[in-house]
Amino acid sequence: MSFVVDEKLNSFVICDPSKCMACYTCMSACYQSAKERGKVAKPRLVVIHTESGSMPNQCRHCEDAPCAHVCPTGAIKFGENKIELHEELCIGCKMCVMACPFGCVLPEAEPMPSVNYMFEEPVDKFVAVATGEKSVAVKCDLCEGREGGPACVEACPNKALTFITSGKMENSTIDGKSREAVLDIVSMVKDKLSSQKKDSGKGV
Amino acid sequence: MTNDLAEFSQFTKCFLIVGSNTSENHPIVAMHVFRGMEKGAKLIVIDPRKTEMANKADVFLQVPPGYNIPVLNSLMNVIITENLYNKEFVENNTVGFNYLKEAVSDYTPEKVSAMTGIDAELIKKAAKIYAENSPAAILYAMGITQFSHGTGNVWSTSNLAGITGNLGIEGAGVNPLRGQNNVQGACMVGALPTVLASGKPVTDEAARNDCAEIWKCDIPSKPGIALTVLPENMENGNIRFLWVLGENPVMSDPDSNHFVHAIEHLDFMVSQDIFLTETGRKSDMVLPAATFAEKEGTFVNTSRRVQLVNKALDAPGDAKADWEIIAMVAQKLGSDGFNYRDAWNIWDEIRTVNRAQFGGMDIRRLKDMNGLNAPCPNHQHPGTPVLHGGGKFTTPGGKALLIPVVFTENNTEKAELEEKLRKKLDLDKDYPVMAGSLNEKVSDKFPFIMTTGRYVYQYHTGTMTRKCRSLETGADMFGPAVIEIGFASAKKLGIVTGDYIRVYNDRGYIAVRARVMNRIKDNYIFGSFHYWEANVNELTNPEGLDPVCKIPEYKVTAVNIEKISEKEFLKIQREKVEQFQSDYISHGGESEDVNLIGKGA
Repeated sequence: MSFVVDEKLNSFVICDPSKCMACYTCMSACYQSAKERGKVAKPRLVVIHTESGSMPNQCRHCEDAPCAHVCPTGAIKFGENKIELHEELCIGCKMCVMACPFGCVLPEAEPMPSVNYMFEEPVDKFVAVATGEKSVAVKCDLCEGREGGPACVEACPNKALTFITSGKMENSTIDGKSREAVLDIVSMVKDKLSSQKKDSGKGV
Repeated sequence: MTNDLAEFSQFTKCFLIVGSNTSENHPIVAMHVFRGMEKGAKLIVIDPRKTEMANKADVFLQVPPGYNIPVLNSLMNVIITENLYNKEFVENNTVGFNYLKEAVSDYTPEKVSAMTGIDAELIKKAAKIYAENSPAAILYAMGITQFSHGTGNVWSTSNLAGITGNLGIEGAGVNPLRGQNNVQGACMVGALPTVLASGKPVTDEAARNDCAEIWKCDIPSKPGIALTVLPENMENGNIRFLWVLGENPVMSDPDSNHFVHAIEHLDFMVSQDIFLTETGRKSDMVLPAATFAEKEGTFVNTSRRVQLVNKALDAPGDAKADWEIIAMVAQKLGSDGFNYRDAWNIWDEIRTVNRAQFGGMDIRRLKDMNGLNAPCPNHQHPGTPVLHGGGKFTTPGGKALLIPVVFTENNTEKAELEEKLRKKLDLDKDYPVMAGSLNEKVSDKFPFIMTTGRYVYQYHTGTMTRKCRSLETGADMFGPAVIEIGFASAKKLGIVTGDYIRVYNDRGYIAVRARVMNRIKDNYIFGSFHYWEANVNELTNPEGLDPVCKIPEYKVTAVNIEKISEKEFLKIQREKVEQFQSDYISHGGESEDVNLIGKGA
């Protein structure tokens, strides 16, 4: 007896913060994967440090994705099991950046291939985006076209990242949680009933 | 390390990590720690920054930089007053327990809490967890050593392990996490100014004679000059020729401007490295060396494990292995005994000279056993993963020495306090004690304390990692150069993440971007020395070295911060290009420039 999850649900990558040791390996892997696949070579997940812990933050591939709704050119659009990203169509209007509730779409530009920043212009790379470079929307595309799925999941040394597809969600996430929740409620109700009984017993 | 890395995940019940951002700077060690924790081990972290290890810790003591002695002493205070120490081990295997007891009696958790702002209950909790979960391992890194009382800090950690009997057993011990793949090996074969290749002090005549017999030459009895006092010695003419091997002192020395200034006084300087470093640019001659993958030999890792390295590539161009270059120079100078065939020839000589450590490690054994832990004196010896097994120590009496270490906030009081302690405890003249203090304090002029460290992406001064194109153009999120500031301090100065700031003191100034994070307490900031664009070592203090090992106080520097515009930022950046990426040798103290930018001109 298990939940039937719509197979058309989007897949996504998520991190278990209790396992993440904030080593940034996922970001390196992401950068490398994007570069190899000919995309803008920028990490699409960013490790965020907070008071209570750290973990990488990346696109959730929302079912009703605000970024895909606002995109005027179809650069970000609803695809099969994911929110697709077509960087070449992006005009850099940054609507998706503002619409994303998680801060997971970033306007990024790749350094110009014709300029060797390391030796020729060691100063100007400090200024966020140098002139002549076009910023486009960059977000997690689940390493589309990469054999073996998302590179971050593969690279994580502590197995903190998981690639969740609808099947996996059904088995591990939803099932386990719902059982726990029901158990919690049942025990809570039992406690309450028994305490009420005691109270009423005393009262009489 | 007194123990082997692999023991952490198997035996350890409690980890005490002091002054180490393990998950960023020693990820492999951190993985072993996490595996241990999955099996139920407890984790205590003492650090000025709320690192990822601190987030996962059972107890986190956020100590201000430089206050390790009071905190460690108060842990011992709790352990002794609550009778949690290992009486049998203290009785049979240590000397000086009464001295230590007397010295730490002042450091009650309440008093230390008032001094450091750490909750006294947390100190008590940490002490109990450490004492009650044996075997307990202490892991430390530069957050213990890089102080004017670094040696005192190290003594404190071994005192703590000593009174709880956490020495000589698997999964326990005092474990300094080494920063380089072979720094342990370099120290063991005498790449130190005070130590012979046999690992014994140069002042020991018998040890000198042993080496002289093998090498058939005289060996000077005077210890050499420590790296950190080079600038003075270059300025006063003691050193006129400098040969830098695989080191980048132009960036890594404290007050690096002073070092660059001192280079002027040299007659000749040679830099030997795999890439053209900042030091190499300022040298008269650069010798190209082969990388680790282009030569054969051994590395000794942090667990004293000797591991073989095989050659994978041919060295490009004229590059040669370091030993080849040294042997060629020595032969040109007319010296005998440098006619080595290959690296294994040298390894055999090391085994003869330092028989006690490496005697039983021939290449075949190293290959078959996949590395061996030193000491391994003969061919039947299985190696020594755990030092001081059975509570036997290398001191003359065979017992661990517990050394009283105290702390004062007033730097001028140090000698006086040490003398007072000696008198109070009625100590022998040569029984070591140490009173620690800090060289720099906050003042109205410099209201922030800067502490320094490393980030995961870059390695030290970036001589290798800064050459990695993918790190430079995107993967390194912290680059180039940021300074971490706490929320409250940033709010006071009106700084948000990404703002340009100037960090300065009397020694120099750097321009960086701010990164506002609540990982560090107010009035403290954190910076790294990876990037020449903004190298915190331009500001660090070269004075007041540790009296024993001459390490400078990298971790505590008084500085001030101000917000600057992008224009000023770029101006300073161009100055740094000239300073570090050219053969130009700075003439020190460009005070006019400093003032101009300081006034926001």
